Amino acid sequence: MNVMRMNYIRMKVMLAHLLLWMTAGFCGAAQAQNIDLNRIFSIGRDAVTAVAGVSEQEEQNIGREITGRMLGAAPLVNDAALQSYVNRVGRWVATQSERPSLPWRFAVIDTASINAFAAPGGYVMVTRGLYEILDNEAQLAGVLAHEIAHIVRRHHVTVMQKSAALSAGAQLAQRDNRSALINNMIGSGAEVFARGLDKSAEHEADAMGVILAARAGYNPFGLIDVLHKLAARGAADGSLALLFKTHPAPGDRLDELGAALTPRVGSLPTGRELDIRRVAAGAGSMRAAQPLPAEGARGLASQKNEQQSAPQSQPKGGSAIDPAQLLRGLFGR
Amino acid sequence: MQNVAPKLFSRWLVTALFAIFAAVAVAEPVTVERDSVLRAEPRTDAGVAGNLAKGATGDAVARQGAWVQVKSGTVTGWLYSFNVRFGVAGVGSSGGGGAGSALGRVFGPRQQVNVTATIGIRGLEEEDLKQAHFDGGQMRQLDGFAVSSEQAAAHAGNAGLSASQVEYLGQPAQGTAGGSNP
Repeated sequence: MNVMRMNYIRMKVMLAHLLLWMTAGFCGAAQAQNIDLNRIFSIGRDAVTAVAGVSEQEEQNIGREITGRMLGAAPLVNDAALQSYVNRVGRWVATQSERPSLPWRFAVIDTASINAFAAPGGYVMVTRGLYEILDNEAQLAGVLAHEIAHIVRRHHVTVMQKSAALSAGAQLAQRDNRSALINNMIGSGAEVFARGLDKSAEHEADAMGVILAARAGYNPFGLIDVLHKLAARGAADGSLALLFKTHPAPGDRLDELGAALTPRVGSLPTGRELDIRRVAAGAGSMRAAQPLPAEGARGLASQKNEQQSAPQSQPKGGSAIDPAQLLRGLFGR
Repeated sequence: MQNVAPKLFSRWLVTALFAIFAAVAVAEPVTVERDSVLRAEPRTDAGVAGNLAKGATGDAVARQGAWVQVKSGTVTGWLYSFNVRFGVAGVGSSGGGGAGSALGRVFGPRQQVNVTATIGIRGLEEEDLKQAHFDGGQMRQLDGFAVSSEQAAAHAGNAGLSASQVEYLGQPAQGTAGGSNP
């Protein structure tokens, strides 16, 4: 068995050498430039392994680069309490995943577009437009969980590997320059977010997101609520243009999720919905809370500000009514 | 003891207000996406309240977890929310009510008061992404907001959230959940 396999590999290597010799012979470049053909052969092999195996550190480097570029296009919403809050919710959900120890970062970025993004290595961004249509913390957790699932399953890395593999020629020149290879994977700017993923990757992230939110104690259906909101707004809504371009239609996602959920939906924990909370930026944050811009354009100041240390009511299944909260809900905040 | 009466009154007032609010405002047009059995209660083992065929329309009058209560003609009952689409006559994303269909009632109470997005707004576009440049200052701010899993667990615990083992969909009931308990 092993002998046969060895022979097979040897034959493949010989064929590869033969091909290289023939190519060199046709173009006549080998002799002219005195290139070591064995070296070329190993370059080809290295390039393939390089693309196949992206280490966790490289994954984080890629994610950091892309996230930094995204923030160059749409900066953080200037609200430290909000950013701290989203990090607390996101990290809690990520802790329930198979990669709890990544250096997870969560952000609300300042654009009216409705969308959310995941970059390799633990970077998750939600747009202000999306954040503003969320009703409760379970919906936020559901959205973050979908993005966390992309990172856990390395969906974007796979897409970037594929596109880098297509330009294998470029990799030959990048054998000694790992960062050039990584740059080749990333492409220009943050365009990876405009490319989108396979439909199956989105459906997988939806199905995983529901469960990750459930594991974290939330109502598992927060993500479904958000998909309903997207479906109801429809493709004509300009703020959804990029999301509709890069994702399956929300109605299709609801169909897929419904089919996946049906056998299990009765046995999933009820979980909690929880009002959107705000926390004082402080513990764990390097910065003090910042005031919102005077024009209020960020639109987030009107939310209830709940101190972390405030005593919590103990709702059963998230359904108990807190008079103060409800009045705020009825009469605006 | 003296504090109890106002508290009770405020609870009563809120409950009354909630009931009025629910009766008046909570109704959202829906289209049934596939033939569905309506249940009398939001439970799979509850009695059958009726049937709705694909394409039937009605109003969503309440919601609970995965369930939505739909009133269609003389029939009222509960079905899974993923079996309906919200919006008038529009099925799926092709219909929709635009930004006006806020789902602020069934999904409320938080209203979309802050949303500036409307049809035709220019948000983050492909070209912006292609031409984006790395912003180191923003990354440092982002790092500053990061929290540890312990901090996140404490925040979750404050709201009464606790982790539990739930298997991914499509997997057998035995396996690892990968979660950690606070």
